[in-house]
Amino acid sequence: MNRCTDFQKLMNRSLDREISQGEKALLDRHITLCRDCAREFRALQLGLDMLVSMPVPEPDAGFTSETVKKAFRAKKILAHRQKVIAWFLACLTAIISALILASWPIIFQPALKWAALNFLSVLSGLDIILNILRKFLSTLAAILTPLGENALQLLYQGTATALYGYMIALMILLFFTLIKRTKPTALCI
Amino acid sequence: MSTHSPEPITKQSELIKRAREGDKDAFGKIVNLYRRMVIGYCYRMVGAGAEDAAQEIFIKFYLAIDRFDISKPVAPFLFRISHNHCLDILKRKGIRTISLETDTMYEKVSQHKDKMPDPEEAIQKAELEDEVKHALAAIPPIYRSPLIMCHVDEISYEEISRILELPIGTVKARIHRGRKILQQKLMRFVITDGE
Repeated sequence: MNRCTDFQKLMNRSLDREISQGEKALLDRHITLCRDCAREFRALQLGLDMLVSMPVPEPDAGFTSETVKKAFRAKKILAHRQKVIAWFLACLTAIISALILASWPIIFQPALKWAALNFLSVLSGLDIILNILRKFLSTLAAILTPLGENALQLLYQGTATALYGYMIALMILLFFTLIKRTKPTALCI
Repeated sequence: MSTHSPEPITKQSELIKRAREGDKDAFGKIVNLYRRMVIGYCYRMVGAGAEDAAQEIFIKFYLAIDRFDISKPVAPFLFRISHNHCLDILKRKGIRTISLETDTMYEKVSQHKDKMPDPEEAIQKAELEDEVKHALAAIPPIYRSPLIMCHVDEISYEEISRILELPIGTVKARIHRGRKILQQKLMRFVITDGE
């Protein structure tokens, strides 16, 4: 260990308290002999000592009481916001589920189903999307026709049933989440 | 000297349990136990505005108190919040360096100078303090934070590694880098002092 860079690493290890007695003696000896390393070590020690002893301003007298007041208020606001979001999602899911349930008869009557789709296509912009969807369904039908019409009908009903199942599961989950979040706590008092 | 609370974990756990149930006094006691530690860290990280930053940190702590593991000490959790919050503040300000204290802060911080028996010594000390503050301000926050935790709050490398979620090697490298910058900034001062 001859170069100053080695002793600079040793300085760091000394500050990390990862240095043996022998290494410390080597470092002390080098510092007495090398002016540059002595300056660097002095600068480092000085900086760290000043960092530790840096006077920190005392907080205002009302710091703790203000902090507690703001913290409790923040928690109350957060709890209220979560409640509002939970109710909103529950209502939205209920509305969507109600619409799908109301349309239940339609999906089993092809004529009504296509009438509904045509109605939607009157709304501007949906024509293009529905044309693409019709082409996709035609292609799909052409592929599945060898399997028979029943297969396509089963696929369609299966998808609709899965969607209903998902909506009901989501409603149940939201219901229990809402019950948990709106439980009265001391924070709301 | 370590600024961690000397309170045993059992007492801390009791205070946190009561704070979770809405006991304002219990949370107030927690704030009193750790405010010096948090304000000291914030002051060295963000400079002016340390008190506001510390307040926001305690508010964030309270909002997260329900998911805090009461079997563990509070200090590391507070340091984690403090570290992230101070970095956010500095990022929002768009600066890598801290601003020095405002006039009000300067008045508070410099009060001790009036008590020094030797005016010339007081001036030299004040100049040195300013120099250190400039040097600290020049250290990038990601190096400054572990440097403060290591030397001011005497947290072990392992603990800093857990707080910052970084490998120990990275923590050591950042601390060494921070020391290097501090040393380089103060070299001029030391040479001048020696001449």
